[in-house]
Amino acid sequence: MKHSKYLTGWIVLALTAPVLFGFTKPDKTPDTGVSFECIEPGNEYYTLELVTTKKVPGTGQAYGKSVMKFANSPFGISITKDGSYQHKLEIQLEKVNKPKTGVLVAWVTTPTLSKTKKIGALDDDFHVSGTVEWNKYIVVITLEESAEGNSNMWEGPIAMRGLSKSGRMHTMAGHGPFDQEPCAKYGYE
Amino acid sequence: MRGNLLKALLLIGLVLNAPAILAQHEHHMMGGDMSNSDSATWRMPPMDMSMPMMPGMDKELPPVEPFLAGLGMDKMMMPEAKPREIMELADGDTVHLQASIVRRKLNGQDVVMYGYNGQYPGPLLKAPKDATIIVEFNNKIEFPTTIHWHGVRLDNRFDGIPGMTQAPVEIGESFTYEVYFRDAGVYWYHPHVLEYIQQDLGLYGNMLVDPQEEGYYNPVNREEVIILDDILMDSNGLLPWGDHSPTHALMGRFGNVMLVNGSTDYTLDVKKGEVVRFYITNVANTRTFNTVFEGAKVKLVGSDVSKFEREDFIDNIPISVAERYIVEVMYDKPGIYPITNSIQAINHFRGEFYPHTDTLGMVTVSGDEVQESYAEEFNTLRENEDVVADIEAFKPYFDKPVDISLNLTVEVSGLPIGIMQMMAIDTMYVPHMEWNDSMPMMNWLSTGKQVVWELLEPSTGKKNMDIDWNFKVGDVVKLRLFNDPQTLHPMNHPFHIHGQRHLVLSIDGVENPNLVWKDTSIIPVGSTVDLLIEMSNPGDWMMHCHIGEHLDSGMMLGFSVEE
Repeated sequence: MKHSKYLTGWIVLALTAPVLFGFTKPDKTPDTGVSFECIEPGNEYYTLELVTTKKVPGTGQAYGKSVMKFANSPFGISITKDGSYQHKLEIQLEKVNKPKTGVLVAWVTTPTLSKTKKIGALDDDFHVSGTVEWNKYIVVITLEESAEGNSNMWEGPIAMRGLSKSGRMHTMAGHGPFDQEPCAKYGYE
Repeated sequence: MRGNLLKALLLIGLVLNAPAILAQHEHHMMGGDMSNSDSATWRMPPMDMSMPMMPGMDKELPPVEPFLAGLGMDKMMMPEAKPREIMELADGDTVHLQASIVRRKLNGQDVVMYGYNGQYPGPLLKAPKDATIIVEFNNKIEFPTTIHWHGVRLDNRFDGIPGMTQAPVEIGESFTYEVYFRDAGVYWYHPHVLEYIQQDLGLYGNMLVDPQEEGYYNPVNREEVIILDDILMDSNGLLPWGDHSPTHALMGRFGNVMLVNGSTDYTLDVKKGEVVRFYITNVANTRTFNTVFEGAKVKLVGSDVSKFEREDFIDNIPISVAERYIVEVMYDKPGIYPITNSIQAINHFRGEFYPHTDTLGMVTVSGDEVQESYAEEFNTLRENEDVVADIEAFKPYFDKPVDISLNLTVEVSGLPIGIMQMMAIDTMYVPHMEWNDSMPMMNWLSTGKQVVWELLEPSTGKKNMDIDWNFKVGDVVKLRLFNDPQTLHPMNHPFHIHGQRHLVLSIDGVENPNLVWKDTSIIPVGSTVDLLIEMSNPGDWMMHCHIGEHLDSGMMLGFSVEE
């Protein structure tokens, strides 16, 4: 009897969770109006969508993407010594007005903001490329006074941001029966 | 309204489940030591006991019969396996290989396994390039079997494919192979019948083909031939395999005990300044290793069927199932250094990556200086002109249109609906590579009866063995492989092509800057990989995923190369 009560609960959970969280299957194409078509099929699955914060003049209508491919490696896949993926990012923004002062700079940071890396200033076509060696990360575009400013952490306002596909993998801790600890303790690395 | 109702149902489900979690592993350890009994029973696979599990799942069993080697036999009467021997062979020599049942000590337990010539791994066959050896093979295990000479471009009749190049060697029967070594390098041999059982039980060995050419490799102080493997055990011994249909059909059977040359305690003693050339082969059922030689400088020299165009210093060696890599390693400081498998594993419950390290072996570097130093040669990166020249002849084909394509995909049916839904949650994000078994129960319960892995030809809709490809000797074929991420459970695939060699031209449109001839290449999830295959060897051959459980869940096709 006791067991069947648990079983009922799990059945309810299993049947409703995909509907609630929309994770029966990954979306084929994010609904952003951005073309995610890549040179080869497959890349789009890992492509990050960049969305505007509407906090920086000239970026209110902006959208963008960061295409993620393996960095060059003799092994085909590019893996660091600690087992992290090493990706090459191609960041491209659309519908951006060039800022009157300052420059748009791309960064990557871990979801806990514990580590930050400067990718570089976007060029006149609002494009920049670089590498990242973390499995979960956020791409951040900020408005900086100059391209040569602080290379450790952004100082200007955030114009756009996007989470790596791996960010979809979120903790079940902190929810329902697992609500022993706040979910913020897990699921970010 | 509908959303609120669903949310309410979800909350009820979650609340009802709260007390259940601790009780979920109550029946985790079923069975017991059954090695001397007449039949096997299923035991749940070892897993993280803090991981919540769906109630009722602990009562689920794979819908196939369990198999363990040597059931009903007196284990202590079986011959104890010995470490491998080295066989130095010349052209025309004859080797006798017998596959038989052996007793081994693993992780402090006596277990029943298989071995070639009663050894673990099988004997190391050393032969010169262009030699042909005769192998008189005899089968004394509990299944029909064959031997496949992996990566060797030999006569098709001896490729060891049951039903294609030969009939299976029945129990007690024999077969004579002629193995011609066309290329220098490191190769391996293994069964091509129920690999997920027979190979996992220890039927594998290396072949080292000497180039017979002065200066082909850099001078080194010593050579080490190492085989990486893993095996799944609990406190009662080896976990049963599915009899004639694999368990772990989704992700392959990850082991939890790491083996180097069949042993859990690989050690190597070297002197300060020594340069060691390692020939590394991964024979695991599914695990990709990220191999790290701590405390040493490492140079990448070669892979499956040739050296690289250019040597390169590297930090780590990701090696997928059935691949080989040749690296030179210099230890210049005394100390004790581990060889590790260093990965970022996934915990789907926590929704996180976490660092995980397995120690594969230990290298002790003494303070004694090595007698002859090859430091200068080691620190010089060579361009291998012979390889560059060989590949140059194929450059005109690099930009040719794609000749043939395959989508790598999977169909799953018949799993309990709860498991299917949990799998959907589990695959909200699909990694490029599965480095660990992140869903041990669901993976164990999936069998070849519910999971069909597919090589799908998009132009015809044909799948697996229904695909009918015909080529001619001299054809240079561009094959595009797309590992579809939009399936219920995508997975990386080590893709092996029999009898021919190939180049990995590009991944996701990014050109490969340092080419090497391969016979097995890794196809990550979501990626499009272009291979250029030299059809140089006539006969009827196979292409397949080398994850044992995927192969026995359908993921293979045949092709012919005509004279």
